[in-house]
This record gives sequence, C-alpha cells and structure tokens, in this order.
Amino acid sequence: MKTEDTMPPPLSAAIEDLLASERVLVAQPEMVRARALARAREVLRDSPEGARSRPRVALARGRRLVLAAAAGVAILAGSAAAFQMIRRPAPVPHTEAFQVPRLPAAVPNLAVPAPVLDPVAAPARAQENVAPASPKAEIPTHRPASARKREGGLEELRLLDQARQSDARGDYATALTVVAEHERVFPAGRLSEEREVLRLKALVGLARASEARHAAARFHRQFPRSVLLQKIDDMLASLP
Amino acid sequence: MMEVRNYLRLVSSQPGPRSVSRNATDNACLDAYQSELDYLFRTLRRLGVRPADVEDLAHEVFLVLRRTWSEYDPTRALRPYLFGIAFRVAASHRRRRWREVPYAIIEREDHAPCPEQTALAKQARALVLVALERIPLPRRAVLVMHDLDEVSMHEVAAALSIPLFTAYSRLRKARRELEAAALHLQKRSDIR
Repeated sequence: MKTEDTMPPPLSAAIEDLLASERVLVAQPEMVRARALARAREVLRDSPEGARSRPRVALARGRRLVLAAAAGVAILAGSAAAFQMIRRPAPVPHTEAFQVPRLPAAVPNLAVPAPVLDPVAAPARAQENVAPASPKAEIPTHRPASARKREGGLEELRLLDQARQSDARGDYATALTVVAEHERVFPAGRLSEEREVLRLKALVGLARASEARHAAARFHRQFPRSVLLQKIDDMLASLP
Repeated sequence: MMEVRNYLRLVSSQPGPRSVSRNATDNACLDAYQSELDYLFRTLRRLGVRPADVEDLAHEVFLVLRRTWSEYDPTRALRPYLFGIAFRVAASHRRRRWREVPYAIIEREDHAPCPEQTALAKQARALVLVALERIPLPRRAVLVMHDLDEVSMHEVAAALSIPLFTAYSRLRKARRELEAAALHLQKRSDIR
C-alpha cells in the first residue's frame, strides 16, 4: 500500500479559501503576551529545580495510573477467588465414601471376621456392621459416577476375597454361597472370570463333578481366551 | 572532620555545571515559548479551548515544554513538537472540564459567526473555528497540523505518536467533516 493511495482528495476551493484566512496568525495583544511571559518567568524564578511546577496534567496521569493498577489488582483478586470457589470440589463425607453395604441376612455363615489389625478401630467397625444405618445414610445422595464405580469395585473385590479365603480354608460351601451372592449383585462384574474360577474350585473341592464340568464348559464358552483356562483344565483333571 | 563538612557544604552550594546548563535550558525554552506564543494561542483555540482558558493552558504547555526540553531535537521544527504538547494538554483539559464543571455554569457561547462582524476575513476565521469544533479532537489535530500549519504527514504522525496510515485516515475523515460543517454553517449564515 503506497502513501499516494492513502492520500485523501484535495479540499474544495471554498474550504481552501476559508483555511487560507485561518493560516494567517494574528498577534496576541501585548498585554496578553506580557502576562503569559511573566507567568513563565515566575515559574523559572520560583522553581529552578522544576520540581514544584509539574503540570496538573502529569499529576492527573500519575493518579490515573495508580488507580488503574489498584483496579487491576482488585479484579485479579476477585477473579482468583471466584475461580477457587467454582473449582473447589464438594466435600464428600468420609463415612459415606467407603461405607461397605451390609450383606443381606439371608446369607448364612457369612460373618467370617477378617483379621483385625487395629484393635482400637475394631469395635467401631463391628458396631458399624451391626448397627442399623442412620436415616441420614439411607438418603440417596448424588455422587459422581466415578465414585460409585470405585465403591462397586471395592465391594466386588471384598466378596471375592471372602470366597478365596473360604476356598483356602477348605470351607467350600461358604465359598459357593459367597460366589452366588457375587453373581447376584454383580452379574456382569469386572471380576466374573475370577468368580467362575473360585466356583469351579469350590465344586471340585466338594467333589460335585458334574456341576464342575458344566461350570468348566460354561467358562470355556464365556472366556475362550482366558489365561485361567489351563488352571480350569488342571482342576478338572484332578476330579476323580 | 568539621572542616571537611564545611567544605562539602560550600561545594554543594556552588552552582555547578548542571545548574548552568539548566539555566541555559530554561532560557532557550523561554525564548521558544516567547517566539511561538501567538501560534500556541491560536493552536489552542483551534483545538477547542475556550478563550478564557487559553492563557492557563498555554502556561501548562510551557511547563511541559520546559520539563521535556531535553527530548526536543533542535534540528527539527519546533511547531510540530509544540503542537504535540498542546494537543495532549488540550485533550486532558477537555476530559477534566467534562468531569469537573457542573452543567449549571457551563459557558454557552454563540459560536456562530456574528453578523456584525463586517470584516470578511474575521468572519471566515470564526467560521473555521466553529467548523473545527464539530470535528472530534484526534481527527481535528491531524487536519490542523497538516492543512493549517502545513506540516508533512510524517511529522504529524510523529508528533501525535500515531501510525502514518492512521494519520491519513484521520485526515480524510476530518476533511469530509470540515466540508460538511462549513457548508452547514454557511447555509445558516445565509439564512440569517
């Protein structure tokens, strides 16, 4: 873009005539000139350092800068506070977050006490399992899906751990009950594969061969690529 | 020790080379102000300053000129530099006046050319001032500098601290507004 392109069109003749008369500078009255020069000389005489005669314009500009800086700081502080309030997660009560749902009373012989590591916390934990849930706890609370998923996974793991401990103790009946409970609560749980292995182990332990074979065949259909297939076959081979 | 202090006090009270140069600066500044006083007064009027405020604002321009005299390049023309200061002082005064003066005591001048002014040149000058009043100050400054003071556009842009093409754009709009305002005022004058 050239400068010639941006040059505006010339003024009309009438306007040119008007401006020509305005271009002539008329001398100010001598009194006005003398007064202005006297003020200027007075400034030079009174404030040789030039410090006292700073014009009001400069002072006003400085004041505006200070005010603008203060306003900027206030806006930043307000924004930070608002951001903190928006982004802060809602407090989750600890008692609810990891509260383990009690098993229904229909499950017999399931109250196998877990090994107590903390004797102080043990009575409270036992009371928690026995005491009825408080009204506050029964009110369905809105929780994020991730929290519900995490709690479901913990419960699933807890049930299968009970079954594994029962199998390890040789209490295969309890193990089968717990496995059935797991299947009822988590029919499509993430640990279904492990559950079927525990079921088969319990059936083999109880020498229920036909049920064991059925369970093994079902396992082969459901999990054809499972790494536990070899274990299943080994258990079937141990059947009389 | 006392002697050293007295000596230092004596030395510090003597006018040094810096004081001498300050006096020279003040004198040069005062001379420049004196030589361009008529131009400064007229420029302030063109920038819309009321006659009653022109002297005060001219004094403010002098104070700024004195403070910034070291930044002035003597090889260049003084008027564009002075205009830049006058423009900023006038703009600041305009903002201050709008903020501080209550409406009840606003001076309501009749800016229309007075029919009794028989001298044609005087009437034309008055008409130009009134027409300039109708142009916003940033554009008016460019037009006054270029079309009245006949300053090159490069110097206009430098004095007002704006890009060159912005200066051209403002000049184009200001000329259009000036023509429209002058036409309107002339029609009104003819009707009277």
